[in-house]
Amino acid sequence: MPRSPVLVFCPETIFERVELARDTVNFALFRLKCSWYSTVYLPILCLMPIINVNHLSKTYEYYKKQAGLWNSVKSLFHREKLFTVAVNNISFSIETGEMVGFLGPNGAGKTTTLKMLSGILYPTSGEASVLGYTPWKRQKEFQKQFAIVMGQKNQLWWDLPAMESFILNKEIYEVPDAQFKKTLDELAVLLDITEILDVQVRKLSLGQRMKCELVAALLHSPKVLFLDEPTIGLDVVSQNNIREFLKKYNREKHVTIVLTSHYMEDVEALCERVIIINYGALMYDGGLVELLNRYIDHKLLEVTFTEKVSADQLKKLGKIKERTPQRVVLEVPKSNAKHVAASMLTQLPVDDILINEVPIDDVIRKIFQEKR
Amino acid sequence: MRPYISAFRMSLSEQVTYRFGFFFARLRGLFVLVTLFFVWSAVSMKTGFFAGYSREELMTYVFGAHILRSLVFGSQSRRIASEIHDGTFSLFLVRPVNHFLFYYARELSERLLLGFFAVLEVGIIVVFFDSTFLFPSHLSVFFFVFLSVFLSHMLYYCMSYGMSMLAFWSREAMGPRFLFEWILEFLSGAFFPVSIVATNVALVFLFFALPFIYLVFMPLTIYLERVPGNQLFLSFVWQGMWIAIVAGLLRALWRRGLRAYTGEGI
Repeated sequence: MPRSPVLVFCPETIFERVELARDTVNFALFRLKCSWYSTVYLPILCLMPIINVNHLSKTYEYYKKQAGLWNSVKSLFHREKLFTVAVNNISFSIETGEMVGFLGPNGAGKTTTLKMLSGILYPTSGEASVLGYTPWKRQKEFQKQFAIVMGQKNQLWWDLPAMESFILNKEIYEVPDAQFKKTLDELAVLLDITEILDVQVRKLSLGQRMKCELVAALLHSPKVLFLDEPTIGLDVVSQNNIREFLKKYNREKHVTIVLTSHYMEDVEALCERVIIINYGALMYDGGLVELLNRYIDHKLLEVTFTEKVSADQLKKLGKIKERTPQRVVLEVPKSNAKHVAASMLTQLPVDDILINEVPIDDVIRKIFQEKR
Repeated sequence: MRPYISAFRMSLSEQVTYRFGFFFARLRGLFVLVTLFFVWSAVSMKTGFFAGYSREELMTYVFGAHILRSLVFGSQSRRIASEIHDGTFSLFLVRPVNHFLFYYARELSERLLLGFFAVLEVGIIVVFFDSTFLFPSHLSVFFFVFLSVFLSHMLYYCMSYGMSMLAFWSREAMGPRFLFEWILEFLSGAFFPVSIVATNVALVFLFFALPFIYLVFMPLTIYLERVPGNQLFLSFVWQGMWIAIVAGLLRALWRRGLRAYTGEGI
């Protein structure tokens, strides 16, 4: 008679089975994780903007300070608290490798926004993420992947050669020796500073200092670079050198650059996209060309004559912007510009004629005035 | 650790850049030392004793205080207030570096450099005026003095760092700081042994309870072997406790200060 199977409770067998089951589950989870990472997470990461700003606001608190000795004494006991909204509910996103110009008049909120995006300031409300991190949490992993260059603040040690500050940054950002040497050599050649690496920073010109500041900021190969007025105070040649360098660097390294500048030449030369803010609010976010098309319906005809031409003759053709006896700048509708130019050539003693776009400065000024 | 070693090294190079400024600052310190030397020599000349101190002990105290002033009281952390005001402080917030340790490295380099020169100056004065400088009878005393000086140095740095942090809220951080440094130097025993003015038990307790005497007076009293064993242990505990209290306050100030910081000037 066959024996009925006996259930034997052997602890070892149970443990083995539990372990096997655990391994199977772990493996399945690992596979799931891998497939999720490669099919879902990575593509999302690539599609995700590198900078994402959502309803970001910043309000500064300050105290009213009235003029006069008596008011100063009074303020020892009572001070009126005031608030100013520097950034008001702005939202935008920036993709990897983009170079975006951040424009606005003084006090518009550009620098405050950059300060929040680099983790210097906490926002009053709203959210932002840069490289997937919340900037104001100041995580080391985040700080190692971005850099900020402030045109009016030096990170280089004034009394020591720039090389010392570079070495310090190498240690701070934990850049390996070989990579440090390679990057420094590359940047020093690109910016033409090889000869000045061992010169005290205080003995360098403003242009040379700015180049060294850029090198110090780029030694750890940041993925995101914030530039706050990088060409401020520089002469035309130095401004151009910096622009050329940034253009090349962005093209070759695919670094995301956010730039604020009061020099429109910087923005025109470097940025295809601009974000304009005024009174803390976002006013425009888009391409430079679209900006011109949206806000400007005219072109400028700059004409030089071989002899004097009366104002009456010119008024019929367009709005006179500037005029000397033998030169005029006329404002004409975009659609009509070619036609007006052709008529001038036939009707007037034209020596030279140029059809120009409205300077970007004027466009920005117009936007600021319109929305005030 | 490497960024802080770099900061230490660079700070050292920076300090010796302006040689004239450096030597004039030392000369000023030397004048203070010579003045104190003559004052306390005169005070103890008649009897050879003053307020429980022998003339030799007083002289050793004055010389020791000169060295400790250089080793303990720093000026690097004063920069923090001006950096907060002019916005340079922002550069630390965007880099993966610990601001407290970074400035500590700078402070330490300055202290060691000045301490070295202070020892030289004391040597010159001792030889020149043929004065006495007592040495402890046991080598182990040096260990306790070293420990006490290290804790003093840490305590001063924490207090000084905290004072600079007032700049987060006020543009007038230098005023309170000036007052703080003045009180600190006086109460720490940087010019004379503070036990001289502790004329009653309440004052003695007050002096021992407050952190100031642990900066200069206590390390020197240990050096002069005037602290009994049990009190020695208590003094270290008290010094450590003050460091912990001030460090806790610093942490709170730092967190709140960063929220108040506006990065003006950039």
